[in-house]
Amino acid sequence: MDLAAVQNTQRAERWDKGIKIGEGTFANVYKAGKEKATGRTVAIKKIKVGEMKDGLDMTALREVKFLQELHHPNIISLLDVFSVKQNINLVLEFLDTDLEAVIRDKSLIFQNADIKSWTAMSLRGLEYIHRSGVLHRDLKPNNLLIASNGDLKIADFGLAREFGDAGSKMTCQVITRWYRPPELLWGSRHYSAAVDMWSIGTIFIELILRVPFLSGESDIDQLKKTFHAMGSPTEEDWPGHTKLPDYHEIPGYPKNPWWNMIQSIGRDGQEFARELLRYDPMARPAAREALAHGFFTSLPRPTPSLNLPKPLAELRPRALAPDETRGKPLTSGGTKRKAESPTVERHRSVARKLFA
Amino acid sequence: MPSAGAAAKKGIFSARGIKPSAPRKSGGASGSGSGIASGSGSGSRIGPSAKGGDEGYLYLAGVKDGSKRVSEFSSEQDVCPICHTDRQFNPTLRLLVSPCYHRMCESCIDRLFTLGPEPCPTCGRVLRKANFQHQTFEDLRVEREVSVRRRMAETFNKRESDFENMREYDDYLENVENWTFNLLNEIDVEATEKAIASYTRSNTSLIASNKERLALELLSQAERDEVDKRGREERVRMIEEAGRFERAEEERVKVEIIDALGKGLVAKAEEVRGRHELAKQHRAATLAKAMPANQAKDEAKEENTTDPLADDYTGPYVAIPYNPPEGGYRDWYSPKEEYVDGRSWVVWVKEDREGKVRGGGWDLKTFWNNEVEAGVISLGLEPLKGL
Repeated sequence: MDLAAVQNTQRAERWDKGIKIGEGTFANVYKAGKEKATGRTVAIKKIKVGEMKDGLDMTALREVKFLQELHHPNIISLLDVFSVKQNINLVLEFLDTDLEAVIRDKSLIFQNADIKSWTAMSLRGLEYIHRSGVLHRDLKPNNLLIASNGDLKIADFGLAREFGDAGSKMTCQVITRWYRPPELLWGSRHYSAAVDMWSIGTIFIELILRVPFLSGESDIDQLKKTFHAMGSPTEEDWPGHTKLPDYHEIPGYPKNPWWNMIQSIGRDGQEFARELLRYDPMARPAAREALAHGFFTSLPRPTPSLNLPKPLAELRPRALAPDETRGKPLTSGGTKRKAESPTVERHRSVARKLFA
Repeated sequence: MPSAGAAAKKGIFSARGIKPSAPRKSGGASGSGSGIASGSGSGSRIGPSAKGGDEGYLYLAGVKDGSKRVSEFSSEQDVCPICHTDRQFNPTLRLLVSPCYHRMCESCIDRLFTLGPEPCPTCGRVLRKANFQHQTFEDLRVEREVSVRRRMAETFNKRESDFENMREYDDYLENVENWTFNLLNEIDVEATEKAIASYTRSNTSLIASNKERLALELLSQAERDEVDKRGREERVRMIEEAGRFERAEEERVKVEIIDALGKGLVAKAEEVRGRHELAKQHRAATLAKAMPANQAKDEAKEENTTDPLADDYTGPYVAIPYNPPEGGYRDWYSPKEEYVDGRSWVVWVKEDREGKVRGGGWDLKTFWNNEVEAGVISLGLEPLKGL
C-alpha cells in the first residue's frame, strides 16, 4: 500500500457512519455520523462515483475545492475527505436545519431583529467568499444552514467558481431560478459578485413575506414575474441590458412602489432591499458595502444567534423509510415549495470546466 | 386612550379657533351621516350630567383614531336585523349601532326615527336618530367596552401625582376598574352609577383641571414639534444655499486661476487660490455660527450613532455588523487607475464593443483589484513601488 492509501484508510477510520438522512439531486447520500474519538456529530456526504458517466461529479469537486480553502464562522466547514471503494466521502460539520425549514415552519414568528440577524450572518459569510475571489452562485434559503446555536452557515458550493478572468465566459445557468438575477436570465456571460447580492435580496424579502418573492415557473416567467413586481428596466436604471445575449423585450410593466409590501421591516429595511435588488448589477452594493448599510445598525438590534427562532425536533435527522431513498426528491407531491438548483451539463469534460 | 385623543383634539381646535367638525371626514354622505359627525364632535359630552332625563346613559359606539379617519366595520354577510336587507340586495348597505348596541341599516333608521325619538324595535329603549354611530369593531361587545372605558377615562383622569402615596393611587385604580367591570357586565348598574355620580360631583374641579392640563400638554408638544420642524427646514435651506454659492465660487476661482496661469502669472494664481481658501473658511465659520448649537450637536450625534464603522461612533455596541478583517493586504498596495498590459483580451474587455459586459455587471476594475491582491497575498511581499 502506498502512502496515500494508508492515509486514506486512517482518515476513514476516524469517522463513524450513522443513519441515512437525506438524498440529494446529485445522487449524494448524507449520513449523520460521529467522530469516533470525540463523539461529535458530523454529516458525511457520500458521492457515488460509479453512477456518473464522466467519472467524478463536478459539483463535488467544486465543493471540495472551495470548502478546503474557505474558513469562516458563517461558512460550513469541511472536516475531512476520504474515499471508500469507488465513493468519495466528504465529512462536513453537522448542522441542524436550514433557513428554508425555518421560513416554512409557520409556528415560528419572525421579528425584524431576527431577519436582520440572519441577513447579517449570510452577508458576513458572503463577504468572506467574495473577498476570497469566489462567487457562490447558488444562494437560496435551502443552502443557508442553521447550526444548533443559531449560527447561519452558507453551504453547497457545488456551483461556486472563482471570479471570472478577463474575457473568459461563465455559464449563465447558475443560481436556482427564483433567486436568479435578471442579467443571468438574459444570458450574460460576464457577471460579477452582484449575482449573489441579488439572491441575498430575494432571500431577505422571502424572510419578510414567508413565501418566495419571485417564483417563476420558467426562465421567461421568472423575468416576467420580476418585472411585474418591480417594473421593466429602462436604459437609465440599467445601462447596457439590451445588449445581453438572450435579451428579448418584455413589454413594459409599470414601476410600482413594490417596497410597500415589505413595509413591516421599516424604512431602512425597505431601502436595503431596494439597494440589493437594483437591476443594474454595477449599482448593487458589494457585500462589504451592504454590511455597512444603516439597516444593520439601526434599532432594533439584530437578535443574538442563540435567541433566533428555530423549528422543533421533527426536523432533526431521522432514518429514511426505504421508499424515500430511491433517488426521488423527498418533498414530492403536493405543492412544489422547493426550487431545485440548476444542473450542470454533464457531457462536457469535467476537468476543462473545473479549471476554466 | 380614545378620551385622551378626543380631549387633545378639542384642546387644539379650541386653541386655534377651528371648528371641531370641520376637518373630520364623515363616513357617509347621507343626512344621518352628517348627524353622526356632529354628534361625534361632542360625543364625550353625552351623559347623565349633560343630557340627564329618562334616556339613561348613552354609550356611544364608534371609535375615531388619531388620524381623524373613520374606520368602519362592514362585512359581506351584513344583514339588517329589522328589514332583512342584505349586502347582496343593497351593496351600499350600512349598518349603524344604537346606544343600546343593536344594529340596523340607515334606511330603517330614517324610517323609524325621522319624526323624533322612538323606542328601539329590539329592546324598547327610547332612541334618537343622532345617537346612532358607525361600528368600528366586528364584535359589538368590544365596541361597548371601548365606549364604556372611554367614558370612564373621561371622568377618572387623576394621575399618580394627585395622590399622597402609591397605595392610595392603587386603591383608586382598583375602584375605577371595579366600576368599569360592573358597568360592562351590568352588575349593580344602579349603585355603580350612583357612586360614579357622587365621585364626579365631589371632584368636578379636579377633573376639569386635569382635562385642561392634558390638553395643554398635548398642545405644547404639537407646538414644539412645529417649531423644531421649521428650524430644521430653515437649516437645510441655509446649507443648500451655502453649497450652491460654494460651487459657483469654486467655478469662478478656477477660471480666474487658469486665466492667471495662462498669462504666466504663477504668483497671482497662488494668491487667488489662497484668498479663496481664506474666504471659504470664513464662510464655513459663519454658517456654523448660524446653526443653533444644540441642533448642530443633535445632528452630529445622530450621525455618530448610526454608523458604528465610523471613527467617532458613540452609539451602543453593535455585535452583528461586520468588522473588516484586521490588517489584511489591502493597505499593502493601492490599485492604479489602469493596468496597461498589451494582452489582447484585456483590450477586448476594456473596449466592450458589443456592450455585453457592461450589462452583465462584470467589472474590469474588480478583476484588476483581485489579481493584484492575489499576487500580493501569494508573494507575501509589499509590491514594488513606482512601477
